[in-house]
Amino acid sequence: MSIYPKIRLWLNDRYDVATVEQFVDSQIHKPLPKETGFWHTFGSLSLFLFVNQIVTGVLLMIYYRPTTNTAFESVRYIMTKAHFGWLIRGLHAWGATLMILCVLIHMARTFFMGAYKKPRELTWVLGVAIFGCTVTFGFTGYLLPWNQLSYWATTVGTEITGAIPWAGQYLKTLLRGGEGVSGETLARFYVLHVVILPWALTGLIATHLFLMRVQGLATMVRFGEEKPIEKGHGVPFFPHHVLKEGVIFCLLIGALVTLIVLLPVELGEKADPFVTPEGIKPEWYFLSTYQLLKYFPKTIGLFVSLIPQVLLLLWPFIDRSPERNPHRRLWALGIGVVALVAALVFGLLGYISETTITWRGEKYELDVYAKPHKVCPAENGNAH
Amino acid sequence: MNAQQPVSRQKFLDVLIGVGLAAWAAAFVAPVLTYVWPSQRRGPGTQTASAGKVNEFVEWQTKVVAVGSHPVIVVRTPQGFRAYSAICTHLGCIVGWDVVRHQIACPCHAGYFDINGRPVAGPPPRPLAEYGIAVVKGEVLVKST
Repeated sequence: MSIYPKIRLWLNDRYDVATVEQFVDSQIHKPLPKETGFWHTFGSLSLFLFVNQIVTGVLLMIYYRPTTNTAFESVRYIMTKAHFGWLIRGLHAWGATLMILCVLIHMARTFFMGAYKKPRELTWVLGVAIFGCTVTFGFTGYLLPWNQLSYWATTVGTEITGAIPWAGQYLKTLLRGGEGVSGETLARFYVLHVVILPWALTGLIATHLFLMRVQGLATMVRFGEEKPIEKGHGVPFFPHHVLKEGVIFCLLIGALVTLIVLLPVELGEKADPFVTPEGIKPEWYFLSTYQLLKYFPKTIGLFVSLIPQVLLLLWPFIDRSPERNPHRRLWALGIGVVALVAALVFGLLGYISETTITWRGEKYELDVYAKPHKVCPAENGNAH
Repeated sequence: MNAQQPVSRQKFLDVLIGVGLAAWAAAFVAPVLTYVWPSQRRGPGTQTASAGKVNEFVEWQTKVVAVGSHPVIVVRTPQGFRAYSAICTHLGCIVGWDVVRHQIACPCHAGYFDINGRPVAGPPPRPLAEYGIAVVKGEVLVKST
């Protein structure tokens, strides 16, 4: 006799096991709409990457020391001395990047398939909050290695907070724990990164998943005309959809390990509050905002860069037409495509700005606006 | 004309308990908020730091020195030494010297300041704060004001 029936019997004497089993079974075999495909797997991938961040984050905490004298050195220790430390840090750093990418793709899928519409507005709003939390995770985690890039990216990022009218300076001081970015900032960001944000994100994800399971996945049918999926119709969650997720999951693991090996995460130089390095740039997901801030004064730049986030949050309450099919809501489709293209263009401009490129044998220096300037062979560059 | 209704004992107790709970919550939250707010004890009003010997600077040479915990950029111009806060008024990066433009430049978002610390290009909204300079026995001293 296997051990499971014995355990079940023991539990059944004390709890109503049958009800729990019935609930689990109904969730596992819940039919999904026929439209459910590979694009629907990015939510689960985001969840898997969140679990990866928690596990690798806990492992990193064993050796990491959050003070200005020890943070950089402890990360160097993790990367060079701790067994498989390079792998754990790589999984954490690349996992963060892929998690943001997966959340973005998941949001884009929801947007273009109109899944945010009634009655799922709150699920969308929670999704936007999850995205905000994920990006804040990235921002707070970026400072922890205490290197030049992280120090100056945090200086610029927290300085932007100061541009908020009235409360800005207070918020900036509260975030930094003082006037400038210092050990106080490191301690605050550490607490946010390892305690407050993980619990906040866990709560948000749990509620998001709960609403998704209760209301079911959206179909392409107009709202108000959706019908419950009859037995025998639709795609069973298990094994059909789980298999799809398994395939994408394996590809993701492959991509993650390939990235860690071929593009290892660097540590750079230790933070020096008296020297801002040339051409410091934020992580890729902040590049479009970084570029946008070059065209506007601080406060206006802040508000311009906040417009997409506010629009995202309120979108289900702005677009209230019953149509979900993208072909029948072309203006929403247009706005989505324009927003994506603008983010890509500004991000690309931010990425290539302040670099040198060679085009058809000629050397060009790209200025802060990514405008090319031909370099004469005898010309000397700027020096600071 | 409405006759004033007497407040029932139930209502009175509801309000009393509500106010009591709110006061209890405030008494709990206030120390937490105060604890999170950084204590900012300021140092002495005026601080002085040495930027080095005069003969260490050639014309238009610059150096970033620490005055207290603040970075300050010192420039030797044909008319003498000038010193400004090295923290860009845009987003807080440390400024440097652009030898081609003869201007103070921010490496982050292409902000430029002239030799008087005034913004002349890019997004910086305000001039750089000026620091006092004194040359004493061949030593360049930078003084916060």
